[in-house]
Amino acid sequence: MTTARPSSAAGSASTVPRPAVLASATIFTVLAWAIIAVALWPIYRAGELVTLAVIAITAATAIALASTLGRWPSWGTLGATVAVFTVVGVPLAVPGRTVYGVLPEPQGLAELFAGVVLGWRQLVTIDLPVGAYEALLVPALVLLLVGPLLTLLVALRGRRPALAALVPIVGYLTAIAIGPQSPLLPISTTIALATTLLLWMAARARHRRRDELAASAVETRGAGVRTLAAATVLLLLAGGAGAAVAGLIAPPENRTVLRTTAERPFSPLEQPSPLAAYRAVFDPAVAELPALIVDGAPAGARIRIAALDSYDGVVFAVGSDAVDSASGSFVRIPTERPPDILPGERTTVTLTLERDHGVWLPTLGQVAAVRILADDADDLRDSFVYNATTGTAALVGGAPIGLTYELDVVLDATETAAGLRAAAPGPAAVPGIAQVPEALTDWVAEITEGIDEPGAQLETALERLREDGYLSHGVDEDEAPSRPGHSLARLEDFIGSAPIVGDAEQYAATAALIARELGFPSRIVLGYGPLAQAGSTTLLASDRTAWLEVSTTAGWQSVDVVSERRELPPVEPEEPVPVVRPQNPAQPPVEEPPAIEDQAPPEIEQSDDEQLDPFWATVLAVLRVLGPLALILGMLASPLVVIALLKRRRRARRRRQSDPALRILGGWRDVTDAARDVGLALPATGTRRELAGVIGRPQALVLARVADRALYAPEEPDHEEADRVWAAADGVRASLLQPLTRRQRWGAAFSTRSLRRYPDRMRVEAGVREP
Amino acid sequence: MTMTAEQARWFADITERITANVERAVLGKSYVIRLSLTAMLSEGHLLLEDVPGTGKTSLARALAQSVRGTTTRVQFTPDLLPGDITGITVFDQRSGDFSFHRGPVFATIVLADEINRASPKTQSALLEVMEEGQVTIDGVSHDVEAPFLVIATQNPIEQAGTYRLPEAQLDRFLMKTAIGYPDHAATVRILEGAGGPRALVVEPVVELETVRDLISVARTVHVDPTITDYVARLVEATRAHDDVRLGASVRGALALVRCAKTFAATEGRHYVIPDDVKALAEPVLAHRLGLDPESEFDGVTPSAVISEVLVETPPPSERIAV
Repeated sequence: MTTARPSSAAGSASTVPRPAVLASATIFTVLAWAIIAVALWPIYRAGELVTLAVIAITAATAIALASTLGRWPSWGTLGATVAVFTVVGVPLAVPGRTVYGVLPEPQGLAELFAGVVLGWRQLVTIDLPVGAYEALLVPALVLLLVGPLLTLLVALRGRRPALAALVPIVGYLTAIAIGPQSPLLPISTTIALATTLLLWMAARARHRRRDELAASAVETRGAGVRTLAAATVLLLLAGGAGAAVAGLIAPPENRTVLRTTAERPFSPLEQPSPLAAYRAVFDPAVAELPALIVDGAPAGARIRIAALDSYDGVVFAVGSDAVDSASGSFVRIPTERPPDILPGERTTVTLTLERDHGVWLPTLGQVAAVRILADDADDLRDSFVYNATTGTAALVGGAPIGLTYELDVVLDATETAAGLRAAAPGPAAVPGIAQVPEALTDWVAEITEGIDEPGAQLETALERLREDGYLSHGVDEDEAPSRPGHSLARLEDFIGSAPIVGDAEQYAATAALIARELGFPSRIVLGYGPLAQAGSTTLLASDRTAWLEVSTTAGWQSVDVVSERRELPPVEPEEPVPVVRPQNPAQPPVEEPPAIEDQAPPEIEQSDDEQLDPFWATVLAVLRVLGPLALILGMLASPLVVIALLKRRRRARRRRQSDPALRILGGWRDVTDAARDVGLALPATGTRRELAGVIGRPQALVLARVADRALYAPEEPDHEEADRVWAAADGVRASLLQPLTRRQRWGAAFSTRSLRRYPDRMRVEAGVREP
Repeated sequence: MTMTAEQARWFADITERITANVERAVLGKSYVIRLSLTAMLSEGHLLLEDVPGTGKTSLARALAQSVRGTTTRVQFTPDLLPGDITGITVFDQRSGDFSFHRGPVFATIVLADEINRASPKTQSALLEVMEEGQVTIDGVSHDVEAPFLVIATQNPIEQAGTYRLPEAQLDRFLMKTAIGYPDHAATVRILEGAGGPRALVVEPVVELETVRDLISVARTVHVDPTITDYVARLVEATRAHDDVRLGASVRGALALVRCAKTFAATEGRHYVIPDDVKALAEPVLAHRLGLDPESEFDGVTPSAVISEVLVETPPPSERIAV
């Protein structure tokens, strides 16, 4: 008579699991995916995610249970899933494309299915949180619908139900990968998920054991419950300890996720520096033409076009996204940045472009929301990218003339310039600058001599620049000559000439370099303002200006550095000028920005005041790369190094004993330790001759005899004999290692066998009797 | 006075010659020969527990002949009287005096065959000679000449009609061992020489005086305190062993040190090392142990206990601080 093998706890494709198994799998699946939904929260921060999560997980659970109980074929389960996805997908994941919030529009369905493929990339290239913007909820729907479905199907119908735990793990890792760099309760959610999955596995094991023992009528309920209870207590304790430790050890502020390395839709380095074309707006033909209409901005507001913080010796440019400052990292932003992300009073400003601004879109303060007022607003909205670090925006493909858009902005306090005298350099990270004109360095040193505080130095230098400088665009005949550009040569000439003549381009660039010289992170902001009045303002092309922003401990501070227009002092010519030449016969050409590949790569951090020697810079760069690697390798190898050092110290200590007998004994011990390290099993209570027999080297037997004589004979040995013993010991050790492979030798070198009882023996070798 | 290295080499040379000489008569038993020689030079006596026909008599005779000594053989039987061993006082009618007739115990080497077959009274007579080195008859003491070695045997197979030696008397034997059957090669060599004389006579290699010198020198072998400590730990371990009812006595510990000294000298060393102690622990200590009856019933033997003690007791490998 044979006993039928009981079905496994999870059942198989051809059997239906017991209700208890179904219940536990369902409960733990729902719990696990609810935790994953929590991990998705920082991406969306919207109530729509909650609704989506509840419905999606419920639907997935229902499909999986129906598939299991009804023994649906694979295609049936797949069909049901697609049907549910189609029906609930648009209202849940593309709520903006529904009729009455329920019925999907055809466009919504298209976006829904397109979002399955494209939504992931869009999600990692947009600023978070995204709320219910466009179809960005589709990835969450896919995750929370397919994930629980797969989890339950593997658990209930799979041949290896334990693999079901991998599905939530993959889902959780996916949620982390597409999530923000700043984590939200990462330790807590991880512990919660791990606890859930472990409890589930424990319950599974209990069910399986119960099924397996059912045939033998062994009562296991009590044991199973106790096991589960013990596992629960242990896991809760582990979770509590983990949470406590998490409170002490803060997780990293910026972890590496997909969006860290995602290709950006817009790279400012591909655009010419807007500051390089600054002089063009003062062409008399366009200078008086309207450039921008601003409606709703308060008086004193500054309109920002671009913020330039990297300088390669030729032009200031918008930093690269390769730097920590993130000044070059432009991302799409959803409809609105929620107040918890961007707190402060919001002001709605309407702007209309009356003149070509290239790709740059003028903005104010920090943008909380943007609304494009145009027929193709949706397309333009998709092209809108924003850099929250610099508060500047762009439209990929260029902003059309006549474009009107509304901005909800937050004008923070730091926009208003405060006194710099008491300021200290701020923590902002900005790209380094390639070089500073020597004349500027000398000028700064001369101006700031005797002033100790960096804030006072900066304020003094900027005031002196304003006081000594004269404004001239060099385009009108009645203006003093002034070449455009802000290359090293131009700035050298600018600061070295008397009087100092230039316009906002040179002043802002010089001021930015002065600030860097004095240790302040700085950047140039190109834009308009400050506005003279609130309400509607039409800004002309010639109203464009540039100002300095310096990072202080109080934040970024805006500083106007352009001198006021005033008459230049008359210059007494040394000799009569026989020929009067036009001072500026032709409009200076706009300096073309260098090609991207010609530009010096921005540095990660602001460089030091002194330029490093190229050799040392190379060494430093190599160390930066190899340093962390060496540190990791060092940490990994540190136990081995400690072992090697301990053995080396032990040998040296034995060799240096003052008593020849102890030196001889040390030589013998060195041989036995080497034998233990190569894997020989030396008897713990063997005599020296017995150990020598195990070691199997004739020299070892001689050493054993010499050691015995040294210790037990009435005569005291001398150091010469000890030297001979150590020479022989070295020979025995070499002979022990000789037949080994290289790997075995490394293993012997780092073996801890000989170190295990060393502390006790060390006391004995020092002359103390072994207990 | 401590033995010198030169003396040790001389000692080893002599004992090596004696051992080689005896081995001509007792083939393939150098270890037992060395033990016998060690017992003789340590002024002790040897108990051989062995089956008949393993060469006990040949060993005694060859050893005596090698040192130009005398040898006697006493077959112990239940009716053997003490006087049959020690000798008796006889009244001489012609002279009217009592004269002492020496028994077989007055020899260099006495082979007491199957000692456990004699009555305890007779056994005691022999044991008194072994311990005191003299025979007292009618109030008159008669010294036995040194060297004096008793090689007693007992048959481990036939126990009927025997008087098992009590522990107190076993303790008086310095060592107990067994010759055992020779190995195949030795057996072949014995058979090849079967056509010769019944008892091979070996030539003496040393004089008795030399043996007495050896005995005197053996006492001067250096024993490091760590060695005596080791011996003490071994003896204590036998007493603490779970299977032992009666552990090794102080006499046993003294015997072990004494034998180790002689054994070291036979190795050419003027100092004792733990290996000497380990080599002699079983023959010196095993017969002094009284096992727990239950353990004995379970098959535990004294030799197994000693082996276990040797494994569990670490030898001295270090110096004692002074």
